[in-house]
Amino acid sequence: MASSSSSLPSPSSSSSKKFILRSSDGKHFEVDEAVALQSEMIKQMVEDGFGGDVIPLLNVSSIVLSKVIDYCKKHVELDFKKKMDGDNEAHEEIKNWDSEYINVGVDELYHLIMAANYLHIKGLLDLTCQKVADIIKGKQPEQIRKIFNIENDFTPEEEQEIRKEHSWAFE
Amino acid sequence: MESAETLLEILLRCPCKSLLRFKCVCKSWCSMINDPYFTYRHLQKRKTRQESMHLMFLHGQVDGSVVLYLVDTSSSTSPHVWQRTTLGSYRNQKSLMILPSVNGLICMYGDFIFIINPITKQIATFQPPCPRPDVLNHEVAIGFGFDPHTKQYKMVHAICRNYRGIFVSDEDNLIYECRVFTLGGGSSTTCSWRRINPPSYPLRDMNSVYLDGKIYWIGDSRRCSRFYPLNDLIVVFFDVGNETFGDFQPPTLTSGLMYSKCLVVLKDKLCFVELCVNQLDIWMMEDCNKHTWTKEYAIIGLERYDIAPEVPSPWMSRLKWTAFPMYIQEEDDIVFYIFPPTEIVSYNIKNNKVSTLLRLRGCPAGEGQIVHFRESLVRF
Repeated sequence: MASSSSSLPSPSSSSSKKFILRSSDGKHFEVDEAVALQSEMIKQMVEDGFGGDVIPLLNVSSIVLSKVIDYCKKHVELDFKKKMDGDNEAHEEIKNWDSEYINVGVDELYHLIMAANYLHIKGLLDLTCQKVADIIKGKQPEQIRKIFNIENDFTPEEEQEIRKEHSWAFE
Repeated sequence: MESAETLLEILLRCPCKSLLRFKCVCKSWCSMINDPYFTYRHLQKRKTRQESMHLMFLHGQVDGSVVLYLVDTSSSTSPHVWQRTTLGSYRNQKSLMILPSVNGLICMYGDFIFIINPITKQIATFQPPCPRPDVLNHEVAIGFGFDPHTKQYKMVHAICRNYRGIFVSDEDNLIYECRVFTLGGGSSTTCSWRRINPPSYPLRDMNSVYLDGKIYWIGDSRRCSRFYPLNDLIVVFFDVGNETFGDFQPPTLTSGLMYSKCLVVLKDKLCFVELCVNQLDIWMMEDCNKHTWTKEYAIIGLERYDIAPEVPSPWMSRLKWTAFPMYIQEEDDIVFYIFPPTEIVSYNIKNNKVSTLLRLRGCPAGEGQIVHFRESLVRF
């Protein structure tokens, strides 16, 4: 679905306005204006007059970028549909599509969050962060440290103190 | 995750119980979760989430102690008690009443006042400014609310007393007093009740609701200086920030046979509930500055026919049932606290179907009061 190519397509070949996004590994993605403007960061760049040329996205790899573009395209499409057919059906479709889309491994989630954060795509940030929250909410502190590669800097006494204070949360 | 901003976004979406556990992960997680700004953002986030967990509270006594139960009704197939808080022994437990929850805090009023966050288990106890009246020449109204500007929680206590006669309905010799208690307004020794200007009319009953910086009661306009032609009821409010009272008209009620009414908050809007013989109407105030009401729901089919009236008087025989709307879930389901027998039911406004979520006879709390509760890490 992503209209990706490594060579520059001619912008004049299409009637609607196009943007070219360049990933960190140098690949080019041509997208419609509405799709690109899902990103608040790109929107800001365009408003500031940096939109005419290729838009370099230094922090997003091509693999992640194509996945992000999938999200933006689908949401532009569904937002349009929502306007046309009224709320209910489109709302349900967005929900189903999102839950399918986000059903990925922790690594991929991590890259998507970083990209959503960098590109300021609120909906995608919401979706990805909620997914991580749902994954970790039932876990114990030891498991959390492992997942996030965190070193425990509490002394055993300090940790015990917190556990005692909120003992019901550990039941 | 490397960025603190990303971590914040994830933790803001976790339930309170997980966050209390996550304080153990490391020092930076702990300080992030303890930050008042985090608490505030977390509360806001859970308010806007439709699927946020809906919990309720019962209180009852076990071995002479008051116990609060949190019941998770988010899974309609198996509501269950998932947390309990014991408040210690308390003499006059029957008279303890629970006020509607404010930002995840519960206020209970009786011979003592308890302010509790059942999630963090923070508890404050203090005495009311005067003993709870058991004589007919007193009327007390209380309320609990939050000042969004100073971030302080306040309790307000208004009393209307007939200093000569026996009944508060004697119009001549009434005096009004009002006091405010600010939580966190100094050390525990300097915390005390302060007198403020009272409302100029009695508040009709003790039940109050809180919404967006204001506490609301139903008042009695017959003793109000202003003239309300259609009703003898008015809605009285207390602005928690500037500590002043005001009032406005309730909806123009359609039925002359109303036998019960109350204020509730549904969908973050003030609602006036009118309960008639077999119908329950809910009026909603769209704009809390304009004070205009629209009848949002007219509900029939909630009443119970299986209960014979216990008191054979013509008036009491109508009091077969009562129901309080508590919250709205999934847009179309209004959840009611209904009795007798005490049950939590959900009513679907599209197909008028009533389904029972919870029967309280089997619950450990036995008979108790119930309020809708939305969890938070708020400290006071």
